[in-house]
Amino acid sequence: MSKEEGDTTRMATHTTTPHQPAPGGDHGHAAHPSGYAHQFEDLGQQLDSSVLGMWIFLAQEIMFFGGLFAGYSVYRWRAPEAFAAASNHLNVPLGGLNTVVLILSSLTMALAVRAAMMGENKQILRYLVATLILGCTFLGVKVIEYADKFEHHLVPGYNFQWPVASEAAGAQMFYVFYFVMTGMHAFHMIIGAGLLLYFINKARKNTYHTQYYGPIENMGLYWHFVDIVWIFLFPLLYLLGLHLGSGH
Amino acid sequence: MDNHSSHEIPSVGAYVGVFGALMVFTAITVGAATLDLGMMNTPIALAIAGCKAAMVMWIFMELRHAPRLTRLTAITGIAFLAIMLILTFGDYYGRTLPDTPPKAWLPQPATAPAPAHAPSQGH
Repeated sequence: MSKEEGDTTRMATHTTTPHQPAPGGDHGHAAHPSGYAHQFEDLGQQLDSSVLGMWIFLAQEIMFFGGLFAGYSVYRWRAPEAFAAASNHLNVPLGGLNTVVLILSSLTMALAVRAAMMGENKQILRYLVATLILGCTFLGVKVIEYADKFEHHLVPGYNFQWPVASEAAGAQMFYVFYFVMTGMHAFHMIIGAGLLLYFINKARKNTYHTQYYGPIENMGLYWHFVDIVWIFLFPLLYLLGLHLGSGH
Repeated sequence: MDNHSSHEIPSVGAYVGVFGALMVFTAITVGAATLDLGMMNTPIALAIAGCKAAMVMWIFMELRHAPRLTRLTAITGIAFLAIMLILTFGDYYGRTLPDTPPKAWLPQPATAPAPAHAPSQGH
Protein backbone atom coordinates (compact mmCIF):
# COMPACT_ATOMS: atom_id res chain seq x y z
CA MET A 1 0.00 0.00 0.00
CA SER A 2 1.42 3.37 -0.91
CA LYS A 3 1.52 6.16 1.65
CA GLU A 4 -1.08 8.19 -0.21
CA GLU A 5 -3.54 5.34 -0.23
CA GLY A 6 -2.94 4.76 3.47
CA ASP A 7 -3.66 8.38 4.34
CA THR A 8 -6.82 8.40 2.27
CA THR A 9 -8.11 5.31 4.01
CA ARG A 10 -7.19 6.77 7.38
CA MET A 11 -9.16 9.89 6.65
CA ALA A 12 -12.10 7.75 5.72
CA THR A 13 -12.05 6.08 9.13
CA HIS A 14 -12.46 9.51 10.74
CA THR A 15 -15.98 9.71 9.46
CA THR A 16 -16.96 6.22 10.56
CA THR A 17 -17.33 4.82 14.04
CA PRO A 18 -13.90 4.30 15.61
CA HIS A 19 -13.01 0.71 16.26
CA GLN A 20 -10.31 -1.41 17.85
CA PRO A 21 -7.13 -2.26 15.86
CA ALA A 22 -7.99 -4.98 13.42
CA PRO A 23 -6.13 -8.27 13.85
CA GLY A 24 -4.09 -9.56 10.95
CA GLY A 25 -0.87 -7.58 11.14
CA ASP A 26 -1.79 -4.62 8.97
CA HIS A 27 0.77 -2.12 10.13
CA GLY A 28 -0.67 0.84 8.25
CA HIS A 29 -2.70 3.48 9.99
CA ALA A 30 -5.84 2.38 8.22
CA ALA A 31 -6.76 -0.28 10.73
CA HIS A 32 -6.89 1.65 13.96
CA PRO A 33 -8.93 4.63 15.19
CA SER A 34 -7.50 8.14 15.05
CA GLY A 35 -5.49 9.33 18.02
CA TYR A 36 -4.05 5.87 18.73
CA ALA A 37 -0.30 5.74 19.43
CA HIS A 38 1.38 2.44 18.51
CA GLN A 39 3.25 1.87 21.77
CA PHE A 40 0.00 1.25 23.63
CA GLU A 41 -2.10 -1.91 23.69
CA ASP A 42 -5.27 0.00 22.87
CA LEU A 43 -6.86 3.41 23.37
CA GLY A 44 -8.08 2.45 26.85
CA GLN A 45 -4.57 1.76 28.05
CA GLN A 46 -3.35 4.89 26.28
CA LEU A 47 -5.92 6.99 28.15
CA ASP A 48 -5.10 5.48 31.56
CA SER A 49 -1.36 5.97 30.95
CA SER A 50 -1.67 9.60 29.93
CA VAL A 51 -3.92 10.44 32.89
CA LEU A 52 -1.48 8.70 35.25
CA GLY A 53 1.39 10.72 33.76
CA MET A 54 -0.58 13.93 34.27
CA TRP A 55 -1.16 13.09 37.94
CA ILE A 56 2.58 12.46 38.42
CA PHE A 57 3.22 15.91 36.92
CA LEU A 58 0.61 17.40 39.26
CA ALA A 59 2.30 15.71 42.26
CA GLN A 60 5.43 17.61 41.29
CA GLU A 61 3.36 20.80 40.99
CA ILE A 62 1.98 20.22 44.49
CA MET A 63 5.56 20.13 45.80
CA PHE A 64 6.42 23.32 43.90
CA PHE A 65 3.53 25.34 45.32
CA GLY A 66 3.93 23.51 48.65
CA GLY A 67 7.41 25.01 49.04
CA LEU A 68 5.93 28.50 48.60
CA PHE A 69 3.21 27.75 51.16
CA ALA A 70 5.85 26.46 53.62
CA GLY A 71 7.92 29.65 53.24
CA TYR A 72 4.79 31.77 53.66
CA SER A 73 3.88 29.91 56.87
CA VAL A 74 7.32 30.30 58.46
CA TYR A 75 7.50 34.05 57.78
CA ARG A 76 3.92 34.57 58.87
CA TRP A 77 4.71 32.76 62.11
CA ARG A 78 7.60 35.20 62.67
CA ALA A 79 5.49 38.30 61.98
CA PRO A 80 1.79 37.49 62.47
CA GLU A 81 0.55 41.06 63.16
CA ALA A 82 2.39 42.53 60.19
CA PHE A 83 1.04 39.79 57.90
CA ALA A 84 -2.55 40.39 59.04
CA ALA A 85 -2.19 44.17 58.65
CA ALA A 86 -0.61 43.79 55.20
CA SER A 87 -3.32 41.34 54.12
CA ASN A 88 -5.90 43.97 55.02
CA HIS A 89 -4.75 46.07 52.06
CA LEU A 90 -5.77 43.39 49.55
CA ASN A 91 -9.10 43.84 47.82
CA VAL A 92 -11.39 41.11 49.21
CA PRO A 93 -14.32 41.77 46.82
CA LEU A 94 -12.03 41.44 43.79
CA GLY A 95 -10.35 38.34 45.26
CA GLY A 96 -13.78 36.86 45.99
CA LEU A 97 -14.96 37.68 42.47
CA ASN A 98 -11.92 35.91 41.06
CA THR A 99 -12.64 32.87 43.26
CA VAL A 100 -16.15 32.65 41.79
CA VAL A 101 -14.84 33.18 38.24
CA LEU A 102 -12.21 30.47 38.63
CA ILE A 103 -14.57 27.90 40.16
CA LEU A 104 -17.08 28.64 37.39
CA SER A 105 -14.29 28.04 34.85
CA SER A 106 -13.62 24.67 36.52
CA LEU A 107 -17.29 23.81 35.98
CA THR A 108 -17.13 24.67 32.28
CA MET A 109 -13.84 22.74 32.00
CA ALA A 110 -15.43 19.66 33.62
CA LEU A 111 -18.34 19.96 31.16
CA ALA A 112 -15.85 20.20 28.27
CA VAL A 113 -14.26 16.90 29.40
CA ARG A 114 -17.73 15.37 29.63
CA ALA A 115 -18.49 16.55 26.08
CA ALA A 116 -15.16 15.04 24.97
CA MET A 117 -16.13 11.66 26.49
CA MET A 118 -19.27 11.80 24.35
CA GLY A 119 -17.25 12.79 21.28
CA GLU A 120 -19.25 16.00 20.84
CA ASN A 121 -16.65 18.31 19.34
CA LYS A 122 -19.04 21.26 19.02
CA GLN A 123 -19.83 21.08 22.74
CA ILE A 124 -16.12 20.73 23.60
CA LEU A 125 -15.47 23.86 21.57
CA ARG A 126 -18.23 25.81 23.32
CA TYR A 127 -17.15 24.85 26.85
CA LEU A 128 -13.44 25.38 26.17
CA VAL A 129 -14.17 28.87 24.82
CA ALA A 130 -16.23 29.61 27.96
CA THR A 131 -13.33 28.37 30.11
CA LEU A 132 -10.89 30.55 28.19
CA ILE A 133 -13.08 33.65 28.60
CA LEU A 134 -13.40 33.03 32.35
CA GLY A 135 -9.65 32.45 32.65
CA CYS A 136 -8.92 35.73 30.87
CA THR A 137 -11.44 37.48 33.14
CA PHE A 138 -9.50 36.20 36.13
CA LEU A 139 -6.23 37.51 34.69
CA GLY A 140 -7.84 40.87 33.87
CA VAL A 141 -9.00 41.30 37.47
CA LYS A 142 -5.49 40.36 38.60
CA VAL A 143 -4.06 43.15 36.42
CA ILE A 144 -6.38 45.67 38.15
CA GLU A 145 -5.24 44.40 41.56
CA TYR A 146 -1.52 44.49 40.70
CA ALA A 147 -1.84 48.03 39.30
CA ASP A 148 -3.43 49.13 42.57
CA LYS A 149 -0.50 47.69 44.55
CA PHE A 150 2.01 49.54 42.37
CA GLU A 151 0.05 52.76 42.89
CA HIS A 152 0.05 52.37 46.69
CA HIS A 153 3.76 51.53 47.03
CA LEU A 154 3.01 47.98 48.17
CA VAL A 155 5.39 46.29 45.73
CA PRO A 156 8.48 44.96 47.57
CA GLY A 157 11.67 46.83 46.83
CA TYR A 158 13.06 50.29 47.40
CA ASN A 159 9.74 52.00 46.75
CA PHE A 160 7.86 49.94 49.33
CA GLN A 161 6.20 52.15 51.94
CA TRP A 162 4.54 51.12 55.17
CA PRO A 163 3.19 53.57 57.77
CA VAL A 164 4.12 51.52 60.85
CA ALA A 165 7.91 51.17 61.10
CA SER A 166 7.85 48.11 63.40
CA GLU A 167 5.66 46.22 60.90
CA ALA A 168 7.48 47.30 57.75
CA ALA A 169 9.79 44.28 57.36
CA GLY A 170 6.96 41.78 57.94
CA ALA A 171 4.50 43.65 55.73
CA GLN A 172 7.01 43.79 52.91
CA MET A 173 7.64 40.05 53.27
CA PHE A 174 3.90 39.45 53.04
CA TYR A 175 3.87 41.25 49.70
CA VAL A 176 6.86 39.22 48.50
CA PHE A 177 4.78 36.08 49.04
CA TYR A 178 1.67 37.75 47.62
CA PHE A 179 3.40 38.61 44.36
CA VAL A 180 5.40 35.39 44.00
CA MET A 181 2.47 33.07 44.82
CA THR A 182 -0.24 34.88 42.85
CA GLY A 183 2.33 35.56 40.11
CA MET A 184 3.23 31.87 39.75
CA HIS A 185 -0.48 31.07 39.86
CA ALA A 186 -1.20 33.63 37.13
CA PHE A 187 1.72 32.22 35.10
CA HIS A 188 0.05 28.80 35.28
CA MET A 189 -3.22 30.41 34.14
CA ILE A 190 -1.48 32.01 31.14
CA ILE A 191 0.00 28.64 30.15
CA GLY A 192 -3.44 27.10 30.63
CA ALA A 193 -4.99 29.73 28.37
CA GLY A 194 -2.42 28.92 25.68
CA LEU A 195 -3.22 25.21 25.98
CA LEU A 196 -6.94 25.99 25.77
CA LEU A 197 -6.36 27.82 22.47
CA TYR A 198 -4.54 24.76 21.14
CA PHE A 199 -7.34 22.39 22.15
CA ILE A 200 -10.03 24.80 20.87
CA ASN A 201 -8.37 24.56 17.47
CA LYS A 202 -8.19 20.75 17.73
CA ALA A 203 -11.85 20.47 18.69
CA ARG A 204 -12.75 22.75 15.78
CA LYS A 205 -11.15 20.10 13.55
CA ASN A 206 -13.28 17.34 15.14
CA THR A 207 -10.22 15.58 16.55
CA TYR A 208 -11.89 13.86 19.48
CA HIS A 209 -14.20 10.88 19.65
CA THR A 210 -15.64 8.58 22.29
CA GLN A 211 -12.44 6.54 22.55
CA TYR A 212 -9.94 9.36 22.11
CA TYR A 213 -10.37 12.28 24.50
CA GLY A 214 -7.31 11.91 26.79
CA PRO A 215 -5.76 15.30 25.90
CA ILE A 216 -8.95 17.14 26.92
CA GLU A 217 -9.13 15.13 30.15
CA ASN A 218 -5.51 16.07 30.97
CA MET A 219 -6.18 19.71 30.10
CA GLY A 220 -9.02 19.52 32.64
CA LEU A 221 -6.77 18.00 35.33
CA TYR A 222 -4.27 20.85 34.88
CA TRP A 223 -7.00 23.50 34.99
CA HIS A 224 -8.62 22.05 38.13
CA PHE A 225 -5.21 21.88 39.84
CA VAL A 226 -4.67 25.59 39.20
CA ASP A 227 -8.16 26.17 40.66
CA ILE A 228 -7.21 24.21 43.81
CA VAL A 229 -4.08 26.35 44.28
CA TRP A 230 -6.28 29.46 44.22
CA ILE A 231 -8.73 27.87 46.69
CA PHE A 232 -5.84 27.86 49.20
CA LEU A 233 -4.33 31.20 48.15
CA PHE A 234 -7.56 33.14 48.61
CA PRO A 235 -8.04 32.61 52.38
CA LEU A 236 -4.30 32.60 53.17
CA LEU A 237 -3.58 35.89 51.38
CA TYR A 238 -6.83 37.88 51.29
CA LEU A 239 -8.72 36.95 54.46
CA LEU A 240 -6.00 37.12 57.15
CA GLY A 241 -6.85 40.56 58.48
CA LEU A 242 -10.56 40.65 57.69
CA HIS A 243 -11.60 40.29 61.34
CA LEU A 244 -9.48 43.34 62.21
CA GLY A 245 -11.90 45.59 60.34
CA SER A 246 -11.83 47.10 56.89
CA GLY A 247 -8.53 48.51 55.81
CA HIS A 248 -9.01 48.91 52.12
CA MET B 1 -13.49 0.08 41.83
CA ASP B 2 -11.67 -1.90 39.18
CA ASN B 3 -8.24 -1.18 37.78
CA HIS B 4 -9.36 0.60 34.65
CA SER B 5 -11.04 3.93 34.22
CA SER B 6 -14.77 3.79 33.71
CA HIS B 7 -15.97 5.21 30.44
CA GLU B 8 -19.47 6.02 31.64
CA ILE B 9 -20.52 9.58 30.91
CA PRO B 10 -20.78 11.45 34.24
CA SER B 11 -24.00 13.34 34.90
CA VAL B 12 -24.13 17.12 34.58
CA GLY B 13 -25.95 17.24 37.92
CA ALA B 14 -22.88 16.09 39.87
CA TYR B 15 -20.77 18.86 38.37
CA VAL B 16 -23.36 21.58 38.93
CA GLY B 17 -23.90 20.31 42.48
CA VAL B 18 -20.18 20.52 43.26
CA PHE B 19 -20.10 24.02 41.79
CA GLY B 20 -22.95 25.07 44.10
CA ALA B 21 -21.25 23.50 47.12
CA LEU B 22 -17.98 25.28 46.27
CA MET B 23 -19.85 28.62 46.11
CA VAL B 24 -21.46 27.97 49.50
CA PHE B 25 -18.08 27.02 51.02
CA THR B 26 -16.49 30.17 49.58
CA ALA B 27 -19.20 32.27 51.25
CA ILE B 28 -18.62 30.42 54.55
CA THR B 29 -14.85 31.07 54.31
CA VAL B 30 -15.38 34.81 53.86
CA GLY B 31 -18.01 34.87 56.62
CA ALA B 32 -15.80 32.98 59.09
CA ALA B 33 -12.86 35.29 58.31
CA THR B 34 -14.86 38.35 59.48
CA LEU B 35 -15.12 36.84 62.99
CA ASP B 36 -12.23 37.09 65.43
CA LEU B 37 -11.75 33.45 66.42
CA GLY B 38 -8.22 33.94 67.74
CA MET B 39 -5.99 30.97 66.96
CA MET B 40 -8.80 29.19 65.12
CA ASN B 41 -9.22 31.55 62.14
CA THR B 42 -6.57 29.93 59.98
CA PRO B 43 -7.31 26.27 60.87
CA ILE B 44 -10.98 26.84 59.99
CA ALA B 45 -10.06 28.54 56.71
CA LEU B 46 -7.68 25.69 55.83
CA ALA B 47 -10.26 23.04 56.76
CA ILE B 48 -12.84 24.64 54.44
CA ALA B 49 -10.23 25.00 51.66
CA GLY B 50 -9.28 21.34 52.17
CA CYS B 51 -12.92 20.26 51.77
CA LYS B 52 -13.20 22.35 48.60
CA ALA B 53 -10.00 20.86 47.19
CA ALA B 54 -11.25 17.34 48.00
CA MET B 55 -14.51 18.01 46.15
CA VAL B 56 -12.65 19.33 43.11
CA MET B 57 -10.32 16.32 43.08
CA TRP B 58 -13.04 13.71 43.64
CA ILE B 59 -15.71 15.03 41.24
CA PHE B 60 -14.18 17.55 38.79
CA MET B 61 -10.89 15.65 38.44
CA GLU B 62 -12.85 12.38 38.36
CA LEU B 63 -10.81 10.46 40.92
CA ARG B 64 -14.13 8.77 41.76
CA HIS B 65 -13.97 6.98 38.39
CA ALA B 66 -10.17 6.70 38.20
CA PRO B 67 -8.15 3.48 38.41
CA ARG B 68 -6.55 2.68 41.76
CA LEU B 69 -3.05 3.48 40.51
CA THR B 70 -4.14 7.00 39.53
CA ARG B 71 -5.76 7.56 42.94
CA LEU B 72 -2.61 6.35 44.67
CA THR B 73 -0.52 8.78 42.62
CA ALA B 74 -2.82 11.67 43.56
CA ILE B 75 -2.50 10.78 47.25
CA THR B 76 1.29 10.45 46.93
CA GLY B 77 1.62 14.13 46.00
CA ILE B 78 -0.35 15.16 49.08
CA ALA B 79 1.56 12.74 51.32
CA PHE B 80 4.94 14.13 50.28
CA LEU B 81 3.62 17.66 50.77
CA ALA B 82 2.59 16.66 54.32
CA ILE B 83 6.07 15.27 55.01
CA MET B 84 7.70 18.48 53.78
CA LEU B 85 5.42 20.74 55.82
CA ILE B 86 5.61 18.67 59.02
CA LEU B 87 9.42 18.46 58.96
CA THR B 88 9.78 22.17 58.09
CA PHE B 89 7.41 23.37 60.82
CA GLY B 90 8.80 20.91 63.35
CA ASP B 91 12.25 22.33 62.72
CA TYR B 92 11.27 26.01 62.94
CA TYR B 93 8.84 25.76 65.84
CA GLY B 94 11.36 23.68 67.80
CA ARG B 95 14.01 26.40 67.60
CA THR B 96 14.62 29.26 69.96
CA LEU B 97 14.54 32.37 67.80
CA PRO B 98 14.84 36.05 68.75
CA ASP B 99 11.57 37.51 70.03
CA THR B 100 11.24 40.18 67.40
CA PRO B 101 11.31 39.52 63.66
CA PRO B 102 14.59 40.60 62.13
CA LYS B 103 14.70 43.96 60.38
CA ALA B 104 17.05 42.71 57.70
CA TRP B 105 14.80 40.32 55.79
CA LEU B 106 14.73 42.71 52.88
CA PRO B 107 16.10 46.13 51.97
CA GLN B 108 14.86 48.47 54.65
CA PRO B 109 11.54 49.85 53.39
CA ALA B 110 10.83 53.55 53.55
CA THR B 111 8.38 54.54 56.27
CA ALA B 112 7.61 58.00 54.85
CA PRO B 113 6.66 58.97 51.31
CA ALA B 114 9.72 59.53 49.20
CA PRO B 115 10.21 63.01 47.71
CA ALA B 116 8.51 63.35 44.36
CA HIS B 117 11.75 64.19 42.60
CA ALA B 118 14.83 62.71 44.17
CA PRO B 119 17.92 64.84 43.63
CA SER B 120 19.86 63.39 40.74
CA GLN B 121 23.47 62.38 41.09
CA GLY B 122 24.61 64.98 38.57
CA HIS B 123 27.05 64.33 35.82
